Amino acid sequence: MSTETEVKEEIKLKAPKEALLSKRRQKFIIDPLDDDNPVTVQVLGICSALAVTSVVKPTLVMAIAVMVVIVASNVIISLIRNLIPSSIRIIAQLGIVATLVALVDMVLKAFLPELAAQLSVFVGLIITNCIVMGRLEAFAMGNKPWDSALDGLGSGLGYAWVILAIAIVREVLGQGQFFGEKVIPDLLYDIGYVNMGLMTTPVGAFVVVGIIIWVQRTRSGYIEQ
Amino acid sequence: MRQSKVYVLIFTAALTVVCAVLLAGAYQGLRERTLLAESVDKKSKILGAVGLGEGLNSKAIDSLYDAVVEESVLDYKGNLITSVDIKDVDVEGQYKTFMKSGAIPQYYPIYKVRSEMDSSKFESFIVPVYGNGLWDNIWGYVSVGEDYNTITGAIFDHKAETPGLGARITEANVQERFKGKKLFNEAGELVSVEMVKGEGNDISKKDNPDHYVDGLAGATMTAVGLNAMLKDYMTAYGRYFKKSMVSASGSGNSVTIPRNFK
Repeated sequence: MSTETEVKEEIKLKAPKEALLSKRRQKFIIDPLDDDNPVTVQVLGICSALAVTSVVKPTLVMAIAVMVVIVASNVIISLIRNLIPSSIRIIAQLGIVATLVALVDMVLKAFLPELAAQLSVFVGLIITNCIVMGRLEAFAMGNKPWDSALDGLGSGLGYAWVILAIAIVREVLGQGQFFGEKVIPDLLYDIGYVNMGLMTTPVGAFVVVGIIIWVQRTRSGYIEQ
Repeated sequence: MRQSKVYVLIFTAALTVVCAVLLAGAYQGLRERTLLAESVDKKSKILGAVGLGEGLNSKAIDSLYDAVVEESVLDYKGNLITSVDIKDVDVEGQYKTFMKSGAIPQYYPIYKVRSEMDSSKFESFIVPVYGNGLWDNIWGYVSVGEDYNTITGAIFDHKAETPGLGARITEANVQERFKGKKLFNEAGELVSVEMVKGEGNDISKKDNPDHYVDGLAGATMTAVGLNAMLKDYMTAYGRYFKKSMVSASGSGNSVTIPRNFK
């Protein structure tokens, strides 16, 4: 008799379904924006952050491409995470990421040929972007698809805002333009203002990243030991 | 089971098949669009070499191109030939064959742009050029004016030149430098236009300023490649321009043209 009631109570104790954007899940998106930013805190994906950010337009395309790849690969790997043999784990992840990047490259060439040409090799290099593989290993391999999607979105957004910030600074200071349109008035050029040549080179990008990290750490009070 | 060798093989095979099917399917599905995008891109570059077509969408570029551009094919002696369709002329392919075997390209496309004022006259002649930069190929379109001598515009592009250095050949301010420069000297010899070493030079101080443009800081090798590219193709196209000059002026003088598509 008593066993029957115990069984009934056990069934009722099943946990309620977690909200799609619960507090825990919101953290997946919010943390990588600042506290755990893939570029400025984890120092991943620096190569493309320095290389493509000289002009804003291709940087925007790159940011979207990387976001698509991170989210899609996170979801796919998470869905098949229990099927992947551990001996070929990395290779399987790489194969899926490479396929996704090839698809993104094809879509870009078909719909935005000029931008695809400007980005040239850097789209292919998304495969080597440590953020992508990093999230797969650190999260997607051990979490459910929706959580992985959110985590991917967070990392993608964290990467996106940093490279866009760098690009805006580099294009405005280095070429006096924003999105191809001149923004520095001729008046300033006439009185001797010169475009900062350093900003057109990766060195300038490096400096901007450094300044962003500096501002971030001042706000968060993080001190390296 | 999951770790057994058989399973690993099955998984790998399945993954490969799925990825291959996806990629092949996407390639096929996007093929038409990609070709269309490439063709519009090419047309807009050709129009861009003479400063036309800026800010127009694909349809407008297409109609503008059809209205003002007349396509022709030349042989390497500079004669117009009708036996070859311009669509079959592969500038890139011919150049790469030349690099491998030394076989000089046989067919040269030329795009004649009709004048707005007088549609029976051509105001510009746009020619494609192809060459080697520092890391990989560079190419472009150069437009020559009615006098068959003065460059009225140029557009350059590259595959893998260094951003901020060699890649600057795509920048408008660099391409502008070629405007007004001449291909032939006073004696009627083909001299082409060269980029000097370094940037910030005062070109007007040189002996023949019409044949030099300012170079690129830190991109000497790309500039050397660009110069060779221009010299090569202008040697070939120069024969056509020379003939056109002669027939336009009716003087019938024969002038030596250096035969060196190196």
